[in-house]
Parts: sequence; C-alpha cells; structure tokens
Amino acid sequence: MEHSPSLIKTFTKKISGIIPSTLAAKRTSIFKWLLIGIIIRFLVMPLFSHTDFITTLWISFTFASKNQLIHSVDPPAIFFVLGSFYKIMAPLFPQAFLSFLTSNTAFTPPTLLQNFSLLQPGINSVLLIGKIPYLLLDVASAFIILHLFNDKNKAFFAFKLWLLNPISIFVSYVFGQTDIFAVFFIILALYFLRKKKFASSVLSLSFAGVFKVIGLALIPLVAVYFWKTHHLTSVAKKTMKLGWLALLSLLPLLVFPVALSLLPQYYESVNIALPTGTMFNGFFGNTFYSMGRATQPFFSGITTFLLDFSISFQTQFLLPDFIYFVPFVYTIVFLAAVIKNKLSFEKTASFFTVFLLAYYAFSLFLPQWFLWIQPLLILMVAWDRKTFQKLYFLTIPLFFIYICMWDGGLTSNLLAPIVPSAISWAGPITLMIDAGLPAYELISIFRTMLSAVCVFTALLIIRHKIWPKQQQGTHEEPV
Amino acid sequence: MKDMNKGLMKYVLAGILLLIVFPTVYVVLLNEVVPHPGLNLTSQWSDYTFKDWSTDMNAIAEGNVESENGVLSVNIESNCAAGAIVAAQRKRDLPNGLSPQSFLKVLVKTSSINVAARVVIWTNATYSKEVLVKTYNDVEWHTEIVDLSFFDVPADIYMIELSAMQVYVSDSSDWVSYSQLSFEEMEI
Repeated sequence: MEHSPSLIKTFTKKISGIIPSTLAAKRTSIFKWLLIGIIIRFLVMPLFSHTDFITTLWISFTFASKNQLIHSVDPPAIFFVLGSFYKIMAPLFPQAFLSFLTSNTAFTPPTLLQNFSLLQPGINSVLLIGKIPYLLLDVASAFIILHLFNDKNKAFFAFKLWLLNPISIFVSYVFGQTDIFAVFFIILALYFLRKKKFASSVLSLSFAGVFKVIGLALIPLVAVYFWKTHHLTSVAKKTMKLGWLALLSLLPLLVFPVALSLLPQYYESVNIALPTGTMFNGFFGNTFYSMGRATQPFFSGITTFLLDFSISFQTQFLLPDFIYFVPFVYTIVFLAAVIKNKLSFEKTASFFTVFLLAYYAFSLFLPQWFLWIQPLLILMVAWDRKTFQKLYFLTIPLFFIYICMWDGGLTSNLLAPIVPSAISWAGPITLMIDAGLPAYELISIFRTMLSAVCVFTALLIIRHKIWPKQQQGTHEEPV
Repeated sequence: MKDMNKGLMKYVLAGILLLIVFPTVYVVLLNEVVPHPGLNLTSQWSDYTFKDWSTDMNAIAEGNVESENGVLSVNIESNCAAGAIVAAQRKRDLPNGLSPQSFLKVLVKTSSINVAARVVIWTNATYSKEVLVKTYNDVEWHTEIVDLSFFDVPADIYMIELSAMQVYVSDSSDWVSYSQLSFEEMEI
C-alpha cells in the first residue's frame, strides 16, 4: 500500500506521455474524440464481415490449435501474430463456432466455409473479439500521429481525421482486412524518421514489410534521406552505417520466414475437380496449388499484385519484354529523391505519397490497399489544409464507388452477420446489369476520376511540398 | 494525492465501461436479436447402407469394392499405375428432382496420399461430371460437402460413382472408404 501513490504517479505519467506535452491542454478533447472513435468502431465491428476475415480467422486458429500453417498468398507473419492473440483469447470465442471452423468438414467450392461461418450462431461475438487486434493498432496509430507534428492544432486535426476516417473504418472493421498491421509500422517508421532515428525507422518499415510488401518500398527513400542528412566524417563511416541500416531492414524479413518455415505445413486438401480458373489453394498429392496453379504461394502473390495488376505494355512481340508502370514510377520517384539537394522528413513522406498516388492511379488495387496511403494523405492535409483538404475528401466517395467493382462481395454481402440472407444478395453491378445499364463502364468512369484526383494530388504535392514555388527558377536544385 | 486517485479512478471506470461493459452488452443483444441459421441442411436422399453397388474399373486398374457396416471400401491392388481407377457405381433409385440449391454430402477417408477419393455424377449413359477429386495425408474421416450448382448438375441423376484413383504408384494396396452418402438442401 505504501507504494501505491508512486505507482499511481508513474502510471499517470506514462499515460500522459502518450500525448505530446504541447497538447497537454487538449487532453480532455483528445480523450473525447478517442471515445467517439472507439464507440464508432465498436458499433461497426460485430455487424459486418467479408469472407476474407473468416479466412484469416480460420488460418490463424488452425495455426493456434495445431501449430501448422496453411499456406496462402498472404505473408504468414500475420497468422503467427493473430494466431498467438486468438490462442490467448480462445476462451472468449463461442466454442461451437470454433468447432465448426476447425472441424474436418470441407466444402466445395472452398469459399462455402467462409459463407457458412458468417451464418453461424455467435458470429457477432467472433467478429468483435477477432477485430480487437486491429483496434489496438488503430488506436496506437492515432496516438503516434499526434507526435508527427510540431504544431498542436495540426496534430489534433490529424488525430481526429484518423479516428473518423471512413476508409480506415471500412477496411479494418467492415471488410476486416489486416492492412492496419503494416500501416501501424509505417506510421511508427514516420515517427522515428521525424526524429531522425533512422535505424528504428528502417526496422519499423521492415516489420511493416513482413505484413505487407509495401513497407519495404519506403526503405530506399529513408536510406537516401539518411545519406543526405547524416554528418559523418568519412564516406566509409557513412557507408558502414548505411550497411547497418540495410542489415536491419533485412532482419525481420529473414527471421520471420525462417522461423515460420520451421513450422509444419497444414495439409489443406484441394478438390481438383473444381473448374479451371477457380482460385483454390491447397494440396493434391504432394503438389501445392496457389490460386488454382501449381506454384509457390508467396512469390505468385508478389508477382500478381506488384506486376500483373499494374498498367504495362509489351515493347514488341518477339520477346516477353514488358514495361511495368509500378516499378517505372518508383524508379523515377527514387531518382528524384537522389538528385534533390536537401531532404527532410516532410519531403521524404511526400515522395512516398507521390509514389503511392501514382500506384493507385495506374494499377488495379485491392480496396484494402488504399489504407496504406491514409496516414500520408492525413499528413498532407494537416500540413496544408488549403491545398489538399478538398482533394482528400473527394477521394473518399470515389473510393466507395470504386469498391462497387467487387459487386456484392464488398457491398450487400457484408451485411450477412446481421441479415443472413444478405449472403446471396445481388450487388450493385448485378443490379445495374439487370436494369440494362452498362455497370462496369459507369463505375469505371468514377474509377478514372479517382485516378485523376490521385494524379492531380501528386502533382500538387510535387509543386507545394517537394519543389515549392520559391525554389523554382533558382539553380539550387537543377533537375 | 486524493485528487490524483479520483482522476485515475474516473479514467479506469470509463475504460471498463467503454472497453468491457459496452461491447459485451452490445454483442449479447445482437446475438439475441439477429437469428443465425448456421449450416441448415435437410436431407433429400441418402444411402447409409451401400447395398446394390456394382464394381467397375479402367484398363490399368485392379481392385474390388466391399460394403460393411455402412462403409463402402474401394480397394486398389498394389503397383497399379497412376490414373488407375476402381469405382463403385449405383444406378437404381437415385434422387430425382433435386432442388437447384443441392449439396452432396459424404464422409471420406483414404489409406494414404497415394490415392485420391473421386466422386462422379453421371447425368446420362455417356456424360459424367467429376465433383470431387481429393487426396488426404491422414487416415481420419473427412466430411465433404459439395455445392452441386457449382458443377451444373441437373435435377435428375443417371448414376453416381464413388471411386479410388491411384495418384502415385505404391508397393502396398490402397483404399478409399465412403460413408453416409446423402443429397441435402440448404435453407436460409
């Protein structure tokens, strides 16, 4: 009892440390907005789900209960983390649901397991408990965002924007995707980058890369920033430090796959009677099939998402010589960062934002990937509301029209946990086609507008953040 | 100190209310209000005895079919080439007028990864559809539920075939066992 006052003091001090000292006066408002943000999330969490969330749950629980990993196109680290969490939380999950999910019953097509899971009694509890790790990272991200600004008003504005961001709420709690894991580490990397703690920043990005490859894309830009700002006496010392950063960036990337490769692989039996073109994953005999093809799942995932979804063209027809837009844009952004005389936290974040905007503009992107750019866009808006706020708000409705491309899967069917018959409801595409409307063409018009807004925002970032007006016309930074 | 305790207490109580009480009450309410049918399948036709099944096999296969205690065993002799198929077939008293939302349900187990369970539905004497071809790496029973609408299986079935297909040549004989065959309809 004697120690309790000092314990309380330490606890209160630690809690206060979460909020920057400049924002101490706004503490009540911060907690008020946090409360609103958490209540919105709690309200949404048990109501909606996509079948992908059930897949994540199924792989994670299989890992937790059998210590075996089901291979999929997603990086395995996510199932390791979630599986460990779910193992601790297992007594809170409805046991009948878990028995159904991990039973010896197999379905053809395999997606029926996910569809039927959404109709199981207790699904609402499962959705709420299952999404708690997302909530923890989401709230932690909001607090880190507070630390990304000198100006307290900008910090508070960005904090509110993150907590009320409909895209973040949709991706994590309605769609139930795991991208918040990578995004949390990207935000953490930005926090360290702002403090010029390059090693911690690179390590955070590498952790982000363990969950989603996109985390790795920022590492070369951080390395360039380090090279341009670090005042070491010799090039040799600088190179050694850069080597250390490279090693750090590889560490989680090597440790996680090696550790997970030691785990036995779960034998997910696949029904090869399924028609050609069906996206099935699993074994027939000793052969592993990923997305319906006999291949290594991780690499097939990377090439599909990085290259196949990108705009590309073949130079001629004699050889399969392709120019892919995603690596093309990235190279240009990287070279621009290299030739820039001075880099800063703001400029580095801006370069990455430009790359991501170009990526969304010219690639087929899965809706959950739009979460990657949210903290960066929020930074831009908070830094320069006048220039970016309207464009940022314009991306939101355009994004929600874009997701209609996935028809019922990302619209009507998401209601299945509260309206079971919604599992077979038609989506907007089907309804429009039934009404004789050119559904895909109409949605593509809005998708094109989203691309245009992305490109326009990227150009404004270049104009206002990377090469501001006052520097133009001078010979300081020749391009 | 008293104020600090009071302030902290306020946060702790708010935290408990927000993080534990509110979501618990909310979810309990949802579970009560929203009806969840689960996997609601009703049987349209079933065969739990496996009497009157005939045997067939392709040219490269050797084997036989046995039925005992509600389990149909399809056996392949050792050293049969990959692709060898031994089948048990039923042509009489098969389901007619299946609903469009029908499922085939059957329990399957295999002797090893060297052999695949194979279920074929014949829609007439010359046209068949494979609806299940699977291998397992254990000797446990597996419940297989196949959505027949996915394979465009018509309402009337001419013949059903439960077979064993050799995947890898093996020194020992392999088998596939089937149990509790049924056609089910789903209700939401």
